Amino acid sequence: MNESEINERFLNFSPPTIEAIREYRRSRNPQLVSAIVNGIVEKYLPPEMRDRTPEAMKSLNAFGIESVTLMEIILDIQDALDLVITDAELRSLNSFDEATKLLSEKVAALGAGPAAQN
Amino acid sequence: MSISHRAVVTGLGFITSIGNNRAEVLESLRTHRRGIEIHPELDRPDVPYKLAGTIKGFDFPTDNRETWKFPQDLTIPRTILRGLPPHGVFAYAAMLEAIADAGLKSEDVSNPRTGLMCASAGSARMLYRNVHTMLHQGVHRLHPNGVSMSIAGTLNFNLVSAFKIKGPATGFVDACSSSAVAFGHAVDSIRNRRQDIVFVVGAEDCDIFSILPFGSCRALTSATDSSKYPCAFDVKRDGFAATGGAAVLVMENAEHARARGARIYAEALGWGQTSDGYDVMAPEPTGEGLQRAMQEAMRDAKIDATEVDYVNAHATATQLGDPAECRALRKVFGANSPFISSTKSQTGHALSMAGALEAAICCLSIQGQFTPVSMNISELDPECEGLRIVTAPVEHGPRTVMSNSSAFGGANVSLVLREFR
Repeated sequence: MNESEINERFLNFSPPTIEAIREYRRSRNPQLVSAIVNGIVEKYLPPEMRDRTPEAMKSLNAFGIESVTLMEIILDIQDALDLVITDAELRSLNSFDEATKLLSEKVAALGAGPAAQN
Repeated sequence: MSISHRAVVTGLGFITSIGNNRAEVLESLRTHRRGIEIHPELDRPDVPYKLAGTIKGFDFPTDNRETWKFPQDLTIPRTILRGLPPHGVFAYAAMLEAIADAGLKSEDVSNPRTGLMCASAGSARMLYRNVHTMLHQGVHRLHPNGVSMSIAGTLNFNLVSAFKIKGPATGFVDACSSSAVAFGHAVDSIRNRRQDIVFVVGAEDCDIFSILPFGSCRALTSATDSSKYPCAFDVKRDGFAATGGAAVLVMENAEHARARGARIYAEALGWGQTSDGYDVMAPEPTGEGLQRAMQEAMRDAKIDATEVDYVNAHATATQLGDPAECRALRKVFGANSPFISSTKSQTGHALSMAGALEAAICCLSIQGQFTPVSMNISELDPECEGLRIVTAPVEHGPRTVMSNSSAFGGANVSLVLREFR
């Protein structure tokens, strides 16, 4: 994804989240994974719950996140980080914090450098 | 027939090229305001077909739902919108209008005695985009609703969930007869006392994916002047202009409707369905299949041909289709032709939604006591001889109307509606 594609794909996400995705796409820096996952989860929380994102990260269905929304969050994370979470990995996760840890490890294993253009 | 076994129409909802609600559609029909223009997506040098019945006030510029634009009075919750194709948005809006128009409460809508019968071709745009994503980026990059937002059946899946429908919900796939078939089965369901209320929904996307494929069989008008084309029944006709949108009819048991004091637009008196048994694409030239559909509808309605005041013809303005229908009409009505018009020359051809749209237009015609005009006719085809094609406004309010639909596979459906008494 180029910058305009990122802007369109992540329209209405918070500016810090979009900036983290842009920077990640340039650097593949694993330290950006946490900000990206947090920003994506926050987008799907009811507005009145957004200041409780750290609490939401402790499970996969916090504050009423249902199954399709969970899949949308996973899809956004995959598109942002340009990787795929396998069925087995997904089944092993109990929280977004665990997802962040898993994804950081996957990104670190890929090494630094610009992400593929898709 | 006992009132407890009669089906009536008590609510209407529209998103169409000639208006996004009942009042706008009625005004357009009365004032002959066209909904057809050059479609922005078709306005390219490599596309030889430009005209379509555009849907105003909606825009779907990307697949990201957050870029979609609707009229300001329409709000769709995110968890519903995420699974809707464009015509699902149209259908959702038309459902809201029809429910309000019928004066239904939420407990009437979400009730084991309330069903849903839908017709759409699915969303070619969504199918194309989702399959493209799957093949180029992998299946796990596909939206979880990728299948249910794309395939035929998407209307029933989504509307059942959005409106918490509890009764039977079914989709009909009969190309351009689909929503007329849905209407017919809704009539049967109510007359058989299986349901008290059935929503009949026809909807179609209105984009290059849904429209342009019909150019492959040379069925679309290549004209660019919507003040002259499309022109059903005219010698210069060269094909149809497609459209999309949504039309919803609230079908209800007459006794149920009376008990709650509902306004009744018309009674759904009967319907007939036949097949040509002839060809995938071309209509049987003598119109024998459509003739039988009209006769079967009148038999079901227990009326004879002299009682029909107005026929809303299928007449899409194709070279083969219009003459076949004229021959069928002549055989059915003989020397006593009712008034006949094709509203497709004004709205565009709404494909699988056409039957529902035109049945709803017939309801407006009965209630408003006017006969819709067949627009853009400068020289009638000689095939129309003996038929009273409505080329100019007439002082006539119909009591009994017939609506015809024909489709790929020679699928013919005829509906009969009458002023309720």
